[in-house]
Amino acid sequence: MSRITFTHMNAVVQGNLAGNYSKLSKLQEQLSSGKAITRPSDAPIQTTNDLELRSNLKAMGQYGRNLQDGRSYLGTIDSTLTNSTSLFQSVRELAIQGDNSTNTAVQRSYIGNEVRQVLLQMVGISNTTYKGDFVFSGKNTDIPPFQVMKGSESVDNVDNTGADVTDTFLTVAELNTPLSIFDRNSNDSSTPSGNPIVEKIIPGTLEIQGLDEGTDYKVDYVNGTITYLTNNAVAQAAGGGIDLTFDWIRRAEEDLSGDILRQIDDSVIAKVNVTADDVFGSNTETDTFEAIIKLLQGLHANEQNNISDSISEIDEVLERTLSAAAVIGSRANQMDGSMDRIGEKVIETTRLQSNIEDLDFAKAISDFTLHEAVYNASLQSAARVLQPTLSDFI
Amino acid sequence: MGIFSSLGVGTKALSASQMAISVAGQNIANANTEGYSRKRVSISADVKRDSAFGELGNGVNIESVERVRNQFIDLQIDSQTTKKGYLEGVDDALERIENVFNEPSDVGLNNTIDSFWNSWQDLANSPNDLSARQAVRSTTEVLTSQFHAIAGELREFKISMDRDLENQVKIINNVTSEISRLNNEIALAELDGSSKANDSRDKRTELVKDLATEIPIDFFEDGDGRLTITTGGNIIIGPREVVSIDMFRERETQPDGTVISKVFTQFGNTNAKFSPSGGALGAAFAIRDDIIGNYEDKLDGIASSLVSEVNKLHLQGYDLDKDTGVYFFDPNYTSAIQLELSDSIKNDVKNIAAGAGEPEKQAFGLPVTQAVALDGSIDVSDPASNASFDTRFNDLIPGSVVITLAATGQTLTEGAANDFVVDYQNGNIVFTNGILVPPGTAVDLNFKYNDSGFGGVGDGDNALNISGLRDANLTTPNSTGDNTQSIGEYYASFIGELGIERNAASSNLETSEFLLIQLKQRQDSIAGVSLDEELADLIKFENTYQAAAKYISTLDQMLEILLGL
Repeated sequence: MSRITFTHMNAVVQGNLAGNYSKLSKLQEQLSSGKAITRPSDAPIQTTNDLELRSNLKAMGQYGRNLQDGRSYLGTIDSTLTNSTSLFQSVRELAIQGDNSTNTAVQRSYIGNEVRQVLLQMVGISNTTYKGDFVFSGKNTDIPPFQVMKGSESVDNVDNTGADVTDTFLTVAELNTPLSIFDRNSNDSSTPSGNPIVEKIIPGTLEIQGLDEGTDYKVDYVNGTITYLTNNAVAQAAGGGIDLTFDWIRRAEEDLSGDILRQIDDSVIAKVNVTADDVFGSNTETDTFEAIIKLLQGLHANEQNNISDSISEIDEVLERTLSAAAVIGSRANQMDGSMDRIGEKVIETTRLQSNIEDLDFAKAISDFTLHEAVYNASLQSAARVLQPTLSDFI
Repeated sequence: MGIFSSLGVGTKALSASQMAISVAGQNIANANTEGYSRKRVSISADVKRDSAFGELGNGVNIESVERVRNQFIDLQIDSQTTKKGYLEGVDDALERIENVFNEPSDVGLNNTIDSFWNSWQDLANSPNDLSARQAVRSTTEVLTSQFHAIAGELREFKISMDRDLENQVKIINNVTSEISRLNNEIALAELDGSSKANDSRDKRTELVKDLATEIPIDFFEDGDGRLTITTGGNIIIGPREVVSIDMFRERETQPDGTVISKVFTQFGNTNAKFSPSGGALGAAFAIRDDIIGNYEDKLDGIASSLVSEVNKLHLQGYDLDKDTGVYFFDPNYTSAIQLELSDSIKNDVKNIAAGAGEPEKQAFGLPVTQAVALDGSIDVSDPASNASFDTRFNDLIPGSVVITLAATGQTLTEGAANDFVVDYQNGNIVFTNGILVPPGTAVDLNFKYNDSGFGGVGDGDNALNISGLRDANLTTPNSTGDNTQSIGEYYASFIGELGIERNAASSNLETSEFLLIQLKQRQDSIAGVSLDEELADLIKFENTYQAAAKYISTLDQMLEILLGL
């Protein structure tokens, strides 16, 4: 039998008390923080998982915000397209009304006034913004895709041999011969080409100083030609005394086809915009404004063929708007679905994270009670064992 | 046998009891003295030869006072103490590193790196928004300052280890010279061969234990009672000499270019470098040179991947001033302690390259009304004979040219047998149908050209690409050299490794402490003072003393009787 000494007993008692106390203190730390893991060494593997779950949660929070933002972006476009569809329906009704051959020129010009307002409204619609960014301009969000410009020209070079075409379109003046206006280039250093082409002149806005439209000259706004009707006009043109002004709709020369993107999930990137080409027609097809200009030309100049032609073009334009709206609608649905999915993922990930990180209180408290009892027992037994020595009895 | 010699037996008995009582008193007095071994009086019966009866008892002889102690347990305690000294140092250091990283929490680096990626997503959502740009910059500033703080604390920890080392070396030198002094004292005291320098030996045992805490040691005792102590095969205490541990400093250049000076140790006699493999001193070296360095390297790895990968994408992108080739992080600073935003980003958040640019652009409706020259050709890069027109159109995309007549809108057909041929290399178009397109004809040109240019202020694609680095595998190359972990995964796994390392150190330390307690308990059960035993001894020897005194008084009475005759 080994000797048991006072020092020995003392060491055993102290060791056990310290051990029990440190278990209590660890449980107390967990209970007061509510966390099962407070430092990596508490549970190294779980810590790694926990950090990754935290990152996932943070990323998902961001995707959620991206989704909300993207959804608002789509919402803006959606309501714009709804507006423009109803505008177009009213344009179509006006066109059918104007197409009626019983209309007089005056009646048509009244309808024309209404259509002109719609045309300007369409330009406004094309300039819809979301948080200050033009939504139909692709990535060039600071540039309006279409704007109404004031154009003006003065022609002073009469002695032209035809070498400088850019300045000769109105000067080769002959009676009753259409002269092209669309060849005209405007100097504008702010555009990529430096010379935007003047197209889409708004019917009824071309004015030549000193001459009357309809009396001295007539304008074909669809094809972009001007025809002098009187010798007076020809003489004025040949004399270089032509100052003309007009309103035109300018399409931004910048690339409007860029995609606006939102990341909505790990490696899922969604497009939230439609481009000016999708909604208003590309540069090479009859775009929304050209269709309305054709109608307006018909109403302005009382040309029924242009009015009836324009109806089918307006139908095309309407079709285009509707299909763009359908695209936007399906993207919005996709986003709503993603939002639900992200929401579920967040709940699931939070649950996993909580499993790792959060303390099982019931277990911790019962452990604590158990260890407390053990600690009390060891204190009591220590007090009894350490007390008596032989000196108590002699 | 005479009465007088019997009196001698009585005196011896008295002094033996007295000695036993005083040893018991000494034991009781030192019951709680650390390192005290209980003493025992060794007595034997004294005999003398008698011609008539042979051997006759001649009282009691005090042979020696010996300490009761197991030397082999001491050896085990010393080697376990060395282990504990090492593990204690390492465990403390790893705990401190855990505190530096402060994970898992809402304020750790993990969270900040995630915020950094998120800020790029916010920028991608509103690339034209200066506040989103400010947010990217300020989030990055938080990130860099957190890198600086963590790397700085690790650096500070590393430097502070030198102060620990200096103190430890001082302790070691004090202990060795004290042991050597005790060596001499013990040898002197035990010169006669029979006496034991018990208390000096107890002191020396304690000092050897202190030394074993600092460095791993081996020792043996020679015939004179001197201890010779070696560490890693080198003598530090010999029979006659003490070898001091000297310190010297060496300069070391850190990855960021800072030079710090580090303390190293060498033996005083040979100047051979001394790098202990265990004990608290060994732990201090391991912490400074391996453990902290390991986590510094990992942190630097993250910082340099961040700098190089974010910069690589950022350089390709376009900022709001339409510039490209801008650095986001300063490329000169790739270590965690230096990580810095580039000056251009610090100066102006407009320089953050959120846009990816437009690789392919459509040109349309270019004014080429005079363009068909007398030789029937158009130079695309110079359509209006305007030298400043645009050289961007040089890089035409083959097959993309569409030409329509300005007057009628009729689309021309490409091909030598048809209306025109295009030299895409030189941007030259030659019209081959002189009837349809005579010189001076106005035509509209449509074509696509390659352009790495600015994509518009709403271009946030590069910000999206940069935020995509969150999930990109940028670290931990496998055997074929492909990276297998994203920065976040790498960080999470290295925090996990830190936890595992600490866990291992803690549980090894616990085991070592447990073993040490067991060994000490065994030694205590041998060398420890039991008050009960000592009290029993007191009673026993008190009685012996009384009996011996009774014996002497009996002899006295006998003498009186004899003298009264």
